[in-house]
Amino acid sequence: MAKITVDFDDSRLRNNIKTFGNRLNKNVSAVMDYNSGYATGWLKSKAPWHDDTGAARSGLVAIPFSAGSKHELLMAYSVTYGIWLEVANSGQWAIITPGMRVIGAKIMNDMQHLIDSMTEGR
Amino acid sequence: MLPMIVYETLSVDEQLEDLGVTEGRILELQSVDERPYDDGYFVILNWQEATTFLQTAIKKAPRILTVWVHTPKDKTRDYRIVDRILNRIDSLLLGIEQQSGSDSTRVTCVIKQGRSGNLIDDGWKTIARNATYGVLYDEYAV
Repeated sequence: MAKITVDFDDSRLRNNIKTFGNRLNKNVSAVMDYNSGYATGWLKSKAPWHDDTGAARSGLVAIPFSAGSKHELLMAYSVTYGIWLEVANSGQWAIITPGMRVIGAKIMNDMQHLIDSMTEGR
Repeated sequence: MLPMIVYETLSVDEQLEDLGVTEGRILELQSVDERPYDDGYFVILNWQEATTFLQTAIKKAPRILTVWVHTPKDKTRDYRIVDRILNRIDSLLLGIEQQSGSDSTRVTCVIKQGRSGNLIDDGWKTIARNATYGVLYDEYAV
């Protein structure tokens, strides 16, 4: 009669599950930080108007906020007439609105890869 | 390449005509420098990006179409007709499924993505609202 013994050490699995939430949160924060830089560059380079003073373009910013498990990316103008650029002439010079779509899609794409990479223990 | 079915669907609709949006009052944003009409309602089509970041089985993304409805703000501040025009455009565009226009570009489907609030366009001095759609078609195939 054969007897098979399996010696299974699940401590690593337990530890990964235990720390998953914190690691995910930390990595999401990192994704948001990275994308704030990406978004700022994207907004400045894609803004469709010809510069007069350059204030509107140089004042475009994207700022990440991470508080607990909540993460936000704020994209904004620094000039007071920014809303005019978004709305005037059927949004001919809008940049924040398309930016929300494009950067939002990129962040979701990064999140997908993040989850994939975390299954490898990172 | 823009799918002609979108323009052709809107431009022949009798209900839109009844609301004052005749064929000549549907324009593409890049063809307009100044406010095109000083009275009545007009529609502006703004064809924007198609973003393909996500790794999906289908390597194409819906192209973003923003549809603006305007009327001069010195004539009215009542958005009800604007809303009715947007509602009609909604039902027309969302009804396009696997259809081609005179350019043979086939539209797979149109997806509703939301509407703006009541806006004042200070450039054209109009009251305006817009609706955003994702139009799935293959512009590389033509």
